[in-house]
Amino acid sequence: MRRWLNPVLALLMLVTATASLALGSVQVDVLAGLRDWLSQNPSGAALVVGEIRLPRTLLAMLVGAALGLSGAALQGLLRNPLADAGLTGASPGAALGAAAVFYFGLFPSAGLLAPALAGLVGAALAMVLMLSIAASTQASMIVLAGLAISTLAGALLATVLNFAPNPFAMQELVFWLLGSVSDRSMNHVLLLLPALILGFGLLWQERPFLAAITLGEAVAESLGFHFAKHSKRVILAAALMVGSAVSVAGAIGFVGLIVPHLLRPWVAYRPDRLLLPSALLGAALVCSADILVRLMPPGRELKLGVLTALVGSPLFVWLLLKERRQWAG
Amino acid sequence: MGGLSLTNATVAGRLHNLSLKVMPGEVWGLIGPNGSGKSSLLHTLAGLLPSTGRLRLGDQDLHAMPARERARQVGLLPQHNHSAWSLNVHDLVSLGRLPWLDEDPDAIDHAMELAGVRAFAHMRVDHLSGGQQARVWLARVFAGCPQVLLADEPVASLDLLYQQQISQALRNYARQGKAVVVALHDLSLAARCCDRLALMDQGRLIASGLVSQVLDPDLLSRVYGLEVMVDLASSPPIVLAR
Repeated sequence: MRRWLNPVLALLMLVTATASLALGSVQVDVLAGLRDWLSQNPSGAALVVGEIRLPRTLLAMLVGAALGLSGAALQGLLRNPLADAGLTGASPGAALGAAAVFYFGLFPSAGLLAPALAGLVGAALAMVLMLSIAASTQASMIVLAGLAISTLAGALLATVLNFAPNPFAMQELVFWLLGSVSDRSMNHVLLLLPALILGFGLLWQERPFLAAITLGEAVAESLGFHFAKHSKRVILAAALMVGSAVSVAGAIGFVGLIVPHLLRPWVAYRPDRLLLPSALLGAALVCSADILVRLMPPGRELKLGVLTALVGSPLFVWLLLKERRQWAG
Repeated sequence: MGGLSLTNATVAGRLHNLSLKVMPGEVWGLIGPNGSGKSSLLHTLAGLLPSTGRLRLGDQDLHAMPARERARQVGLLPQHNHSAWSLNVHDLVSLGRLPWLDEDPDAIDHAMELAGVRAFAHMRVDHLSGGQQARVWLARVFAGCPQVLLADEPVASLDLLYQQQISQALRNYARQGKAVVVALHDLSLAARCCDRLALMDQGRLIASGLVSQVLDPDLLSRVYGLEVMVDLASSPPIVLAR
């Protein structure tokens, strides 16, 4: 592994975060704004930087880190570079939870936090179901369990859409699903942060297992790792992070798929060394994407999830073509 | 270490009342037709397949041992090996150190030397030939320095040179005072590189002991269902179907 990789990625993340705090429709002094906000001095700069841009920036970084990290962990666990965070079933579970809020008005007292809270409940339910089905010694069962849960949640979501009480609720849900970190508060950050810390901690301990599973379940078992036990921990951590990321920001695609893919050659293809770089690059990427969204001409906002998918999918096709050429050569 | 001993082991539908004792410094060969239970026996010896009966390493019960400690003592090379990621040879061999939670450079270097893969330590494993890869998989197990090394058909589908290199590497490993159990289909190779043999059929141990005792033409003919020619006096020994 290149020694400079993590410091460079951390620097990249900091530069993007600073840019994200500095850029916007009004020019403000970022440092002065942050200082005022921290000392609770109610200036205009404090309002813009502390109340609007800071939660948005932090949230973009946390969501990116959660998606990059869980993508890296799941690809390592399933030994498949095409594995995606959606495989935990947490993402459609969260979407279903949020849909219930838009249609049935769950958690009215939570206000703007309601979709996120319901999303968390949905993701947790999907995760419990997933873990109980995937209690197996085979990675293929995990993929099938994830697919089953996603299909079930998708069917339920379609049912909810089918019986939408009014077109506005449907529009609200669809826009929410497209993924965005705008109009969020520090409460959203506080909702996501513990899940990210817990998930990261769990995955960090599973690094030896992720290395061992490179050679398959039988070798991992012979190296002293009980596959069912360790794989459950990895799924739990990934689902926790994906579920909460989707709950607060909707579906932001391709980050979990692309980020580990981009970084793999720089960590000598070792799944255990991919975690921290994936979190850092994921954070920098989603934050940059959000800056781009804000720099777009005014009018109807391009949703963050749409942008990551628009940029991510051609990039993914290019990576696949590059790899195919390598194999052919 | 007092060797690995399996006593009266039964695995439902796979192994029937099997006993075997492997001592340090010995290379044991498991022979028998396809489906005779060689792989099941290796997985049982590795403590991965639950069985009735006793499995002891020296005076310790292997089933009661914590998984990591067991992995330090017993190394398994499965029949089919594949690396999901394009690791370089050094990193792949270092995976053998996982039970020890270290990347001991001396152990890794020694393992690569023993398996003869040091020359391509920095090449990516998927860029190697099948024979080179087979030695890398073996080096991975060597790196863990297990007291007992179990290898499931490590020379299957390899050419003569690689067959000889792998079997020689296993012999050299045993000379360091370790026990080696290797499942083999090539009976001539088994005669040449093993100290003792265990002949299996339908999950049962048919014969075990010195090479000359087990490689009996009548016994082999009965188990394999065809006439077998055995010439242990020639160099190298020859065991072939007639």
